[in-house]
Amino acid sequence: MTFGTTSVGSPLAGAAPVTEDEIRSAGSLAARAVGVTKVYGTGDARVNALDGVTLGIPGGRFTAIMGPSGSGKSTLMHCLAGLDTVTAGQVFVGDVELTRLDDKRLTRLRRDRIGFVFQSFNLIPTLTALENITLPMDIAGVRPDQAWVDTVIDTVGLRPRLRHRPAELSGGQQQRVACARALAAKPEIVFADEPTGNLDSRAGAEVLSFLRSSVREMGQTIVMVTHDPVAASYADLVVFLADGRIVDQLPEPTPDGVLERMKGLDR
Amino acid sequence: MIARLTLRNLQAHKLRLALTGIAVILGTAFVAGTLIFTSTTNKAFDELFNEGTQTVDVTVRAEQAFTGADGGMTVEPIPAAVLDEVRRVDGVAEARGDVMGFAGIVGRDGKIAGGNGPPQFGIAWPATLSDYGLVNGRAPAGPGEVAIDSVTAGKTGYTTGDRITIVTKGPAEPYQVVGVFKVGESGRTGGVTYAAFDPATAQRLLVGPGAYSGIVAKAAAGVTPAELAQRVTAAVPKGYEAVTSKQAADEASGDVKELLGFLGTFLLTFGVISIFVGSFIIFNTFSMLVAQRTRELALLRAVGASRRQVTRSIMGEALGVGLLGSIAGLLAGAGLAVGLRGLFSAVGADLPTTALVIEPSTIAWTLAVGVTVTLFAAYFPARRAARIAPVAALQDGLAAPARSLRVRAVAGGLLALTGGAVLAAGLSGAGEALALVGAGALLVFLAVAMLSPLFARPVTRALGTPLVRLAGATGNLGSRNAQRNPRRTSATAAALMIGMALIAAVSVLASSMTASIDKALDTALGADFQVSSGGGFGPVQSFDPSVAAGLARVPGVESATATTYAQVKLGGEMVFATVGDPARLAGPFRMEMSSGGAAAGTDEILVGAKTAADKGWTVGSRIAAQYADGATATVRVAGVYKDNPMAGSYLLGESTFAAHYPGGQISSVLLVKEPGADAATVRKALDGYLAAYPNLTLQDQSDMKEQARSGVSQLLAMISALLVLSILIAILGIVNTLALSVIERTREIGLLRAIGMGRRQLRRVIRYESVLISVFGSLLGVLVGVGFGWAAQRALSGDGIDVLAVPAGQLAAYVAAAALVGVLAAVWPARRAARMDVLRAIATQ
Repeated sequence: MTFGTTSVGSPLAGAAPVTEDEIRSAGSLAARAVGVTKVYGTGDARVNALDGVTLGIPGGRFTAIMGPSGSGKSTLMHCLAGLDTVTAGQVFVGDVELTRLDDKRLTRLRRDRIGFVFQSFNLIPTLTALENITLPMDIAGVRPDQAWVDTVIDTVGLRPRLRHRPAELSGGQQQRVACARALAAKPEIVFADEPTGNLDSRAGAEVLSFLRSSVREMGQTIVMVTHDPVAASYADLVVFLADGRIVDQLPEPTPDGVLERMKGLDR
Repeated sequence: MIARLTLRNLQAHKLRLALTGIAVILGTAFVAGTLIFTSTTNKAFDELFNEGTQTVDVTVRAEQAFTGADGGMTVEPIPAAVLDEVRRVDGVAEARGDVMGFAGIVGRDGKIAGGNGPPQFGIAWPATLSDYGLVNGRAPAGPGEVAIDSVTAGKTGYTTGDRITIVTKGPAEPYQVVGVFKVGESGRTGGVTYAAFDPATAQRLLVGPGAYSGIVAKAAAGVTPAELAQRVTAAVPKGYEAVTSKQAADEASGDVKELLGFLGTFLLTFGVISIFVGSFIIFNTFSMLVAQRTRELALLRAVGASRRQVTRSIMGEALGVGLLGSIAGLLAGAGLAVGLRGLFSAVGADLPTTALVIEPSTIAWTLAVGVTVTLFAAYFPARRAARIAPVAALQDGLAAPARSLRVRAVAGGLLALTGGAVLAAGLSGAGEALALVGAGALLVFLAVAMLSPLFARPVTRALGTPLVRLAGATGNLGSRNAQRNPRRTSATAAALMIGMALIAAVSVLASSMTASIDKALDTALGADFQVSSGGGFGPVQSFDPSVAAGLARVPGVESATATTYAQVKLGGEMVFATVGDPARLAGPFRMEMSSGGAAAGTDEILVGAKTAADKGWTVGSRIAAQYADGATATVRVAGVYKDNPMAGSYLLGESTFAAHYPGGQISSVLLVKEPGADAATVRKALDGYLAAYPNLTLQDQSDMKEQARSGVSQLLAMISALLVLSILIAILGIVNTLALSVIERTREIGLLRAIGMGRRQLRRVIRYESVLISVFGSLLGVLVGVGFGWAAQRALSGDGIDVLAVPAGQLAAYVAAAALVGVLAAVWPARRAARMDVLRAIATQ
């Protein structure tokens, strides 16, 4: 029992479910999970956080993963992003199987091919906004693509604040810096974990619009974990998780449509 | 309730508190170790001295106002007639002449056994009234026969039947070991070596034919030692006195104890330094614990805990750490005391031993010092904790508002001025000079520690610039972390600063001493060679003037001038005077007279120009003086010579010395070779002559410089070794700070790892921070230390240290070593950081 999304047809045509066979054979998927199981604890304390999830993340799309607390959505994202290991199954980013990589290679993969936006504490407090943006590249020891970095900075509208420390920025500004950092190194895929969870609705809308436009205009692939139907409605496709399983998906979501499905999940 | 919270906290922060505890342990261990070491050694000396005199009641000796430069080794011989008079005194049951003097047993390595430690005695057999017992062989019975003590026998490997060489004040002579004896009940000698000869031989070798170095008597039944001493003193000729054996033993052990007291104070100073450094670590740890627990403490306040309860909770933790640390420190101190003893015997100073003595006062002092310092250091953070507003519990983030540094700047500035003034007063020799210097230095250290947050940020930024250049992102992050919290960085660096400052100060002083000695030898030493007895740690051993005459006959030698030193009480002040014939010394010492003649007759003295000016003396001035034998005289200044570092401030003529100082022994012979004579050839000839005197060393000018230099560097090494402990504590402080910072920055570390920072890079970030803190601390230390060294050199310029030499290379090496210290300190915290689970780190609140 599997759901997935792929970019059949033009990018603007929306998303349609893909078959399990397509997911297993990769194709144009930016990332995929095949039969991923994640178990925490043993014996009575045993929890199946993920229970045989197979999912394809299409390139150049904005995918939202939704679900109630404890549904396994964050765990899924962590596994896809190489932050967590799986108990069984396989995870690929592009054609690289993460589940076969050691810590060193995983770290390098995160650094070179993945961007992150977390709910809070996204920035290193001692570094300026600009230094935070170029940090992944500085860590890698590569020279940033200045033109691209400039484009990203202008898109998030942070030019006047580049020399400020995180403590001198508002929460929304901080998240925009985090988004800029995630995009600046041109990662294959950006993972955002509740990026608007700590923001008021206006700042949240700014961040989400920016994420969406980076997909539409720059062809970025983004996976966002959220429990906010409004946030999810910015995505091209919403994947619903419950009890560690994918239970539904919704292309071209609207806030009301997402809310409707969520109610169904909550029973 | 608060007590339970304190206990819980002690448990919860085991690791951090353990690190703090180690700082307490190291500090108190040194204090405890020193106290245990001195009380143990004191007791051992008591046992030793009492053992030697248990069997006699009264000792007769030549009256002496003070002991000479050789520590009382040479005494005025007592004629045999005095023994007869003592025997006739009513109440004397038995009396015997004692013969004792220098006799060095030449070991298999050609050196005098025990040469660097306590004295080497030659005695007549049987020595006193029978507290020396033969272990094997027989008593020495004629010339060429000797018995040696069992400890020396064990050390040298000599035993009955061996042929050995013994040096007395004359040339070395061969002897046959005919017996081995035990000293006292225990056989312990405390490092003294004994060679026993038959009485006639002993007298000939050590004192003079028919003479004794002392007379011991046993009281008849019903006569107390004190009574007997009185009776004997009344009976013997003027110039001799009788004292009870107990008094003699007390006087002897008193001298040793005074020396031990100095040693104890010296060692204790380093204990105080360690504790002082440790207090910075304790302060810093508690500050960080409080900062990290801001929310928890605010919650306590929000639910109704009073300020006092919060303070008490923190102080309770400090009490626990202080108490446990001090107890562990006491135990470690016992181990350290054993180690110190080993250290002394390793450098050749064998001290007598007995079971470890742990006085109740030692326990009390150690606990009091450890607990007080911990409580004091924790008090300020505890007070800060109490000031946390309850609302902080509701606020996100731990960022405490940055407190102004202005108060600190003013207080630190005032403290620095006070410290500087106290230090200056101490160095200028006012009142309790040493105590003032110490207090001044402590104040300056505190002031620098208080002020350093003001410039920690710019300095670490500047130091970090090359790191950012070379190491990119990791360098940048490390450098930023070091700048992040100037107070924390400073407190951590301050601990290192103290040790570094002291080492740097001692280094500056040491190289100034060496440079000054070099200069003195260059300008004032006209002699080509010098012959003197070994030196080392023991008292200066004097030797017979006949050696000078012998050396003068060696081919190629133009002149051989004997000299020695003597203590004289001049105008109420004890001074050391060089003894010799001024006319003969003019060449070897390059002496030039500025007024008066280069001759000193009986009760005449020559004075250096500066001293003469200071005292207002001119040729013909008359000064009240007392000599070693107690005789007083009015001494006339016969001449004033240009300041001469070799001759020193005073020069006493030979005739005065012969009249008032026992033995007439000399301590060095200065040799000038004939012009045109080949130095190597002359040296060879001199070596040949001196083969018979294994206790004497021949040195040319460069050897003398080398000896002075090695003496200074030995002292430097010893002090540095003792200061290494404070460096060790400082390293612990850096480890502590980094470990706590890592815990504090868990989320940040998680983020860095998530966005692709490798473990190795993360370790590097922490290592860079550590290196920056260490280098900052060591730079501060070197600066302060050079200041101290300069001040000390200025203060001592009148005492012969008239050249300031700053060993730049050495100081740079210290800073480089500090960088290495930083690398070491970072190992463990960096490993902990790198091992953190990425997800859990991000999720940390």
